[in-house]
Amino acid sequence: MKKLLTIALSLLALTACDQQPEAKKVTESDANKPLPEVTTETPPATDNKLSQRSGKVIFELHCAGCHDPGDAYAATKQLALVRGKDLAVILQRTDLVPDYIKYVVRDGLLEMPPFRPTDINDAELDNLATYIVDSAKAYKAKESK
Amino acid sequence: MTKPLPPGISLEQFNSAISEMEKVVGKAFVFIDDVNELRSYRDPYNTTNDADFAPSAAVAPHNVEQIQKILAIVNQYKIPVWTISTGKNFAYGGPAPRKPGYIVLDLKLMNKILEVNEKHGYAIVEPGVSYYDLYNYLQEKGIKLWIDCAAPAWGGIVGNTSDHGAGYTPYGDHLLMQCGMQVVLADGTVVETGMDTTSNSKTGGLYKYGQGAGIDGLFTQSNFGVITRMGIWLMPEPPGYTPFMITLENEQDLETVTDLTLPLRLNQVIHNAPMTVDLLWEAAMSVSRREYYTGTGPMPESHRKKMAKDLHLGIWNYYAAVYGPEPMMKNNMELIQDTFGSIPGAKFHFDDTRKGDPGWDYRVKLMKGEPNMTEFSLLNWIGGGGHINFSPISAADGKDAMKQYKMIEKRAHEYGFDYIGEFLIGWRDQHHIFMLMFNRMSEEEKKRAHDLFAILVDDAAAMGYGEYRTHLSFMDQIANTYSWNNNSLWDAHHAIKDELDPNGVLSPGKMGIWPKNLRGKA
Repeated sequence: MKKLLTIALSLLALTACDQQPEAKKVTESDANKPLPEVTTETPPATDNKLSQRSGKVIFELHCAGCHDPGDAYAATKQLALVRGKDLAVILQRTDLVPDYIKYVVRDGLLEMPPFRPTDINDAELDNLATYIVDSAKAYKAKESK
Repeated sequence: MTKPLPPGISLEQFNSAISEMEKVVGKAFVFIDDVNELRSYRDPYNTTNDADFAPSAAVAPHNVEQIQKILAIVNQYKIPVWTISTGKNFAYGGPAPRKPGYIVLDLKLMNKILEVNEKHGYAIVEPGVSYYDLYNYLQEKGIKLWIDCAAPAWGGIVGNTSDHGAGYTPYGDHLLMQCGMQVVLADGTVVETGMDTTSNSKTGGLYKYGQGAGIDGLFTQSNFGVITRMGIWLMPEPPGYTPFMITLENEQDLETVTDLTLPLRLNQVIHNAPMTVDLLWEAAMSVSRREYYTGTGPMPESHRKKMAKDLHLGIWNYYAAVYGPEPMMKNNMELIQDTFGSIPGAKFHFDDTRKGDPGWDYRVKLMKGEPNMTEFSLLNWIGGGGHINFSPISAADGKDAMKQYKMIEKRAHEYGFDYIGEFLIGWRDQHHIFMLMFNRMSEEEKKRAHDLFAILVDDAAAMGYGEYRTHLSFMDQIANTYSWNNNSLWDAHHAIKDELDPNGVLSPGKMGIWPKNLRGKA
């Protein structure tokens, strides 16, 4: 019975949409495709692809605004005050391990709010953790030369 | 913590609804793991408990068709969904829903910039587009248009505009600059507003009103539909830009500077929304409280004075800018300097002397729409990040501003908190933002902050002030202050709500608007 009701309601909703031909139109745009037509078929779930952005891209988009070096960056300033200058810039820290980074990103820490899987998906979070760890290693290697 | 479920829904029904949603968007875009996924949907800065706003799940559609299908499912089960776009509405609740158990309808993955029109100066974007995204796009393509961003720029155009957010360039009244939107109603019907609803429209991004009732505003700060697309006007890059700051030495100067501003603002001698920022807000861009004071309660006057001297700040710090060709800027700056120069002790500051100061630098960026996150330095003030914004509207009038400031300052001090605030002069009004910072690791302090906020709402209402936006915790209390004529405005909201969303599935309780099945039960 419930299943039948679902279908009936879905059809109702879809019928309502079919009466709105405007909904299929989008504004003039070179890069723009029309919205998909509403059909009664459930699209295969694989239509939605997980993005695969690099650790660097994710860092610049979501982390750098607070974690870049300098006085304009909230997290860097606070880490310098609370943990000391050597632990202020996360791309220069070799004490951070991937599991810890991933936990903090998803859970937040003190001033930092959590990041949702729609901000950064799990594979991208792996990329981000690797990027932070590798950047810090490269920084230390350069420093010790 | 036991898993919250949607109100009145069994685990079996919940699982069944989730399984249907997974068929629509794919398993990878339905989140039900409380520890590894849903923790990220909480508001870490709330004044009560995470459990008060814990969702049962989140679902992330990629397009309108998937939203329609999700809405059909939740209508069948009568499960509430809480719509978010970029989910960065911190100080007002972040991505968290009004009540535990709602499913978050997370539109972050609908992140296409559908159109940018350089000639006419507008963009059409989906809800997941952040200010950074749009700015980066314009930079990469070399398009000479500015954005107008929120101060923490990781928020987005659709979310901020529909929550009545403000910015700092001449296009800072975001909803005023909105032009056309696409909305999915609770029954799945897709509606386009303004000119876009005519066939083959070429003016959707140009003219807001079309024919008939202008209904765009109905979908802002409300729960009458799901906005899936929005047009936003963008300012052409001007030939010149001169930001300036005025430091003011005395508390009472707030009154004078506000009164002197109004005619300059109304006549557009000053093109953007001037900000009058208090000492602590400014100082927090450079230092933390503990560097000047480690005691409890509000920072004493002597410490404040030392800090102001060290950082070359005023008790109030006034920011604005002029834009345009050189002769126009020169002319306007002369008028501005003549006007404010009459305030004893007022000192003008420009890039040549102030550059490198984080407080100055981020305002310079904001007033030309360059996204940054420097304002998050406020969260360092006491550390730990707890904050909630009390945001009453006052007249752009000196006496009114002083009255409101003194009322809030007195209460803040009485409850043991610093007054940290700023006034933004829109056109004829001021948005007064009191940033209530508290230690979120202390249950006692959280409760004290919560109690202070609640009494401020009542105090403000008694003095004739209402808030322009608020945190999840206080939406109902503030809705009750908009109560003229036996709550007739809210009765109208509820009549619309019941008509458009009879099952009450869309964001129940947003800004105090409840569907009939939950009304009076909050």
